[in-house]
Amino acid sequence: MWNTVKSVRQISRHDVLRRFMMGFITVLFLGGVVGSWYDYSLSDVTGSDMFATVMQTFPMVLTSVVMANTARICGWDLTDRTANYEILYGNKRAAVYFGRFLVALGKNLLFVAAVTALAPAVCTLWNGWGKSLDFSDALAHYALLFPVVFRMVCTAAAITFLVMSDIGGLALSFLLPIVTTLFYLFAKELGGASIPEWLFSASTLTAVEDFRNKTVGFADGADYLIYKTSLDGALVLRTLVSAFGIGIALLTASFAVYRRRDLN
Amino acid sequence: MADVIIDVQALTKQYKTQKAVDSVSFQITRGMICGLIGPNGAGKTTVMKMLGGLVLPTAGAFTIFGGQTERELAHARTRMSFIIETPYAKGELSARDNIEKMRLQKGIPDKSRTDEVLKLVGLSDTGKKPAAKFSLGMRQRLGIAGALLSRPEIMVLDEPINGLDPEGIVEIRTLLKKLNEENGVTILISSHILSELSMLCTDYLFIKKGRLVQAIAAEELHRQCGEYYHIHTDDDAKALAVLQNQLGITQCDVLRDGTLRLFERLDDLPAVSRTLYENGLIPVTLHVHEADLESYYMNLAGDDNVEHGQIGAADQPS
Repeated sequence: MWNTVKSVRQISRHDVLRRFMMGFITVLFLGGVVGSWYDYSLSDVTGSDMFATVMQTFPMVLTSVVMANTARICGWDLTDRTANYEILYGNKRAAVYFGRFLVALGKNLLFVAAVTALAPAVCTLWNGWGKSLDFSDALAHYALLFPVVFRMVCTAAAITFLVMSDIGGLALSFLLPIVTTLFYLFAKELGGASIPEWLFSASTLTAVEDFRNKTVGFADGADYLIYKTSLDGALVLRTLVSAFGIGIALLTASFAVYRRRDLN
Repeated sequence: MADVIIDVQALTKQYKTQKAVDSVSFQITRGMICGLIGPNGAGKTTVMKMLGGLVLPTAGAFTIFGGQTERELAHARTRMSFIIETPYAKGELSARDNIEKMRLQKGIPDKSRTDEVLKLVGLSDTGKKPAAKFSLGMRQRLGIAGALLSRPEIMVLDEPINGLDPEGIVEIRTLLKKLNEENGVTILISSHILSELSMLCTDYLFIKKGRLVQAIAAEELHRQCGEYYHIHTDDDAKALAVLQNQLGITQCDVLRDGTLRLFERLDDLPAVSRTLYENGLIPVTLHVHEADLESYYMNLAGDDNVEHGQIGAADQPS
């Protein structure tokens, strides 16, 4: 499996499209996050304010990127069949499959960890953490990102190995969160409360990272925002169970197909 | 006793209603250079892909270095190299980056091996040129470089000289011969360039419509391809008896249609002809025939009546 991990990491470094996509989206994301505070002087934005903004923006922008990134990592050398060499060289199909998944998971976890922490960290260094959100609450929200990212990576990897194409996997993985989010929101707007948020990773993330409920507080002669977060034990449990349960189920099902597939 | 390193038994691959490979059995022994010969769609590549683990057999089994389970076969493949169809290469990467990827995929720690094999196939000066801009010949060389990376004990090569210029063909042939003779590398090779195979192979497997129609050693094939009289008379059975009794012939094959192949007295046509006439036999065909691998193959490929495993039996020397 480590042979696969090393070779996928090596070719990922040469993947101009993937690097461009990730760089472009990171700039877009951070630009959007910072831009959402254009009414304020940036010297007033604390780390907790920025954290809430980042988390709320995440599902809209980064969900699709995580999935597209996964599809590209897993599928780039499936399409041109250079991945087949791994089997010809004596690597087992499980190693070829899960090696790619591990690289995608590692790169996406690092990407999400860095991109979501960067702006709040800069604001905290600049203006302090602030009073808008308790730091331990923020940590809980931050930690819950990663199981959902795990599920997204599982989903995108499963799709990519099913269609055996990076472009097909990329397109489907990019569109899936958008479609499911729209479906979830429309259903909710139309009163269809029967659709549980844990069914889709994008809607799970929207529910977990919901910072829309806020009030204004006053301290030290100045107003500040107070975010009332919706994290409760049941939501956390649903998020964890659905993330690992559905993620592993999808990954396993897709591997079962790949394992018995002819690689022509 | 020969050291069998690949043992294929009744290997079958069925795609929906079509059998791409139909109950093929053969053995490859250590040190052999075995040519796999057949028309397009005969099943050569499918056989190689099954050995490589890319295509899963519908029925039958094979062992490599005695291993049969998935784990054992995977381990056995670490001692092998494959080039299947046009060598796969990442078009965006240079020759060096492609070989580097293969080195990592194989888990070879020695980084200098990358430059060694590139030099060996003449691709060390291609710089950063992406593989997508390589000619077919260059891609073949790249594939061969990848195949040589791990110093394999067995090489399975599907059309490895396809697209190479004449110089390249000679270079690769020389290289494969050298690997076989000096390093004892066993080679299973398919090619449409039969003259090249005839200069290289020690054994041949002829495959047609998914079935193995003949397995034959090069020595035996050359004997059969060499000069012989093709004799057909109004009574071939009597002709055979006459030739054996009166001319003391021992090397004569009876083909399925009853006609004879006589491998002796090739410089004495009048004696053969006279003997047949004096015994009341009327030769319908009597001429000296000289064949090579190509005509042998064409003969075999053109014979739709040839049945699996029966050619050898039908061509029993009398």
